[in-house]
Amino acid sequence: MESRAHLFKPSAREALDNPDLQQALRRVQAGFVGKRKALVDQFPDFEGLRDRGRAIKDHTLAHLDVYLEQFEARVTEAGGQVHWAETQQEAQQIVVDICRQVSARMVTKGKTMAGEEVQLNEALDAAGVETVETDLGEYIIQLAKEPPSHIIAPAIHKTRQQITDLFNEHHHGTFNDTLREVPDLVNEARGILREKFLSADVGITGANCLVAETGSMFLVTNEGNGDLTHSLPRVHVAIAGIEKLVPTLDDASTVLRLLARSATGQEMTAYTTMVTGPRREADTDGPDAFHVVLIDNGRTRMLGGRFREMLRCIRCGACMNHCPVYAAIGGHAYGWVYPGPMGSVLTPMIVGLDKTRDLPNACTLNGRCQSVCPVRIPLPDLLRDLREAQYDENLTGKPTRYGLGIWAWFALRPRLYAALARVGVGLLGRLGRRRGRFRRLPLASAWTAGRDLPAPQGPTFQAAWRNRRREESR
Amino acid sequence: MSSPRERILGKIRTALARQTVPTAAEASSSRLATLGDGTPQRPVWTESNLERFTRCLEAASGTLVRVRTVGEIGQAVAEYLADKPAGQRVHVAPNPALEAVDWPETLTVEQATHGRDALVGVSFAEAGVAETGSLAVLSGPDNPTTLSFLPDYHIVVLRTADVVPYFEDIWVRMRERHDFPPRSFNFITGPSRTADVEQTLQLGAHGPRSLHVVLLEEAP
Repeated sequence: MESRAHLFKPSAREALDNPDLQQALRRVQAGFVGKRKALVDQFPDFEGLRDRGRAIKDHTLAHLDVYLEQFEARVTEAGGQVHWAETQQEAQQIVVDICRQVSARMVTKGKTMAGEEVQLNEALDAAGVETVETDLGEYIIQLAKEPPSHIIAPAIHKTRQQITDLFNEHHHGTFNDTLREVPDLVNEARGILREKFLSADVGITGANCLVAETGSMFLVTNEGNGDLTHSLPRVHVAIAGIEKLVPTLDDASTVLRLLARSATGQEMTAYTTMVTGPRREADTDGPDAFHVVLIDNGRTRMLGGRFREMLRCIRCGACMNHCPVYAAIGGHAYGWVYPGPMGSVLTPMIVGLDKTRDLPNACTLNGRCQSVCPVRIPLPDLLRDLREAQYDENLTGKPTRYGLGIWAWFALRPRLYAALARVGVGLLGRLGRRRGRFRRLPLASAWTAGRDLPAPQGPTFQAAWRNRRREESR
Repeated sequence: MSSPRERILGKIRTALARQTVPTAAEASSSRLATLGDGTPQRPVWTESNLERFTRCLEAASGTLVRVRTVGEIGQAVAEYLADKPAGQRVHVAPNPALEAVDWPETLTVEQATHGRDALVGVSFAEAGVAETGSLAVLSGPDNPTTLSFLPDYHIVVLRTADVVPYFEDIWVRMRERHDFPPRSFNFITGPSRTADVEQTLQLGAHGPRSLHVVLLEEAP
């Protein structure tokens, strides 16, 4: 999809005013957060597991060239073919060419965020190939012609009524709006998609993990759609970012332990599949050809600098499930494929900092994302670094720059700063005593337009800090 | 003009400031130095492996019945299907381990080469993982992959002796086989499910609506 991240502010405002979305977002928090916590609490050493996850990914990234070549050699030995795509266009071309070679008319797709990233569906549409998303959530948003709003629950923003309406319209051509039950909706999609699975020419999936040791890929689903996608058509194409690699099967085990718990709060999803190459000679089912498309699309750029740590990401979605900003506005406001904290780092890195100015700032630096990240990505630090990069590249707005300049001038003069803060805080405290908050403030109307400023209570932070230190030392 | 492959590898080597490219052996010993060769962090339990397996399988909405001999498997399958609208036709993986099954006459048994027409599929699991209650089902001529995903009722035969504690144990066992890795190696943990409509759990999304394990106590 084209990035709409430059429209973050108006989109966020719309999201806050959308009652259906707000209702849906409350379910995210209730579901994923609680289930994850229950499992993490009963795991003997989850913190140690996170350390191991980080170490595996760091080691892999430091030897990425070695493991990629090893992976490629193993895939080839198993009868598969590895393709390398530096850009979105190259990735699209590779997949379109594979489809053309087998004269594919219809393609089934398992959920792939890398595929979303390189706009695979748009490219296949343009090439005259029908694509059918088979993950139920992806199928729903494909009917609605919307992008995913969550990386593991793409249709989480949709209510049952909206899904009922979509199914009635697309499956029956009616606009009967009687609300339908969940089993009824799931069954209907099952029936329709079963036909597609059985008649597709090519199946495209993502990959949760690539293993250098064996040239295998792991596919993690609950619905079983990924397995029907890779095992029924004549050709299986897997598409994955180069950072999805791990060295060995044992390392994959660690990643899988982290992934299911962090993503859906399951010890294991219903289906965790390891695919290696196409069907063997004696096999009676499975695809004749197996392709892996390895995607760079900005990742090698991240590898060299401060943002290498972001390449540890295993796409579990825990950061967005725990993010108060995501909880308030949902995924669409972020304007591209990856929402929430991980998206606010990745989108600027891939789409460009100049087109995503608001994303690094849409964060309260509360640190919850970092505290749950299974591979310990310091997301708040990276977001702060992006803000700095924005400042350095002159992408920060003039009022903010002036404001920061003025603040810095005072901050370099601590006594003056403390004195003025004392006067200011005292004044605001007295003025706001009655209501306890300010609806509007001169010179800060942009800030107070969306929120109230609580009136200061008591002394300044610095004074309170000094008093506390003094009491502690007594 | 260089290929995308060379360009990507080139950019990686620039980013990593490579003087020389490490060999696979060097990468492997560096991995060992980083991660150590100790046990990775993983769940622990006090019950037996089989008890843990059963508990986790049932928590994932799978069901289980125990039989003593291969011969009894047929009767157990018939009993399981008796109260279900599954018909009499059973598609069975052509697995040597299932050859000696004594199928009751009430069932029509077909050797499966795929799962396309199957409402009931019977597969054989190479192993069970106690850690998560997962079945390890390997693809091959004696175990078609689609038989695990297309039927409404998926029945899997597992020997108690093949229940291992952890994933790592599976890899140790499997690496010894000449045909490892198979094309498709499925860890199956309960029936197919989705929560994509309003986060409400619904079984039977695209794959089997139910998963039933026939646990075989007899050793091969």
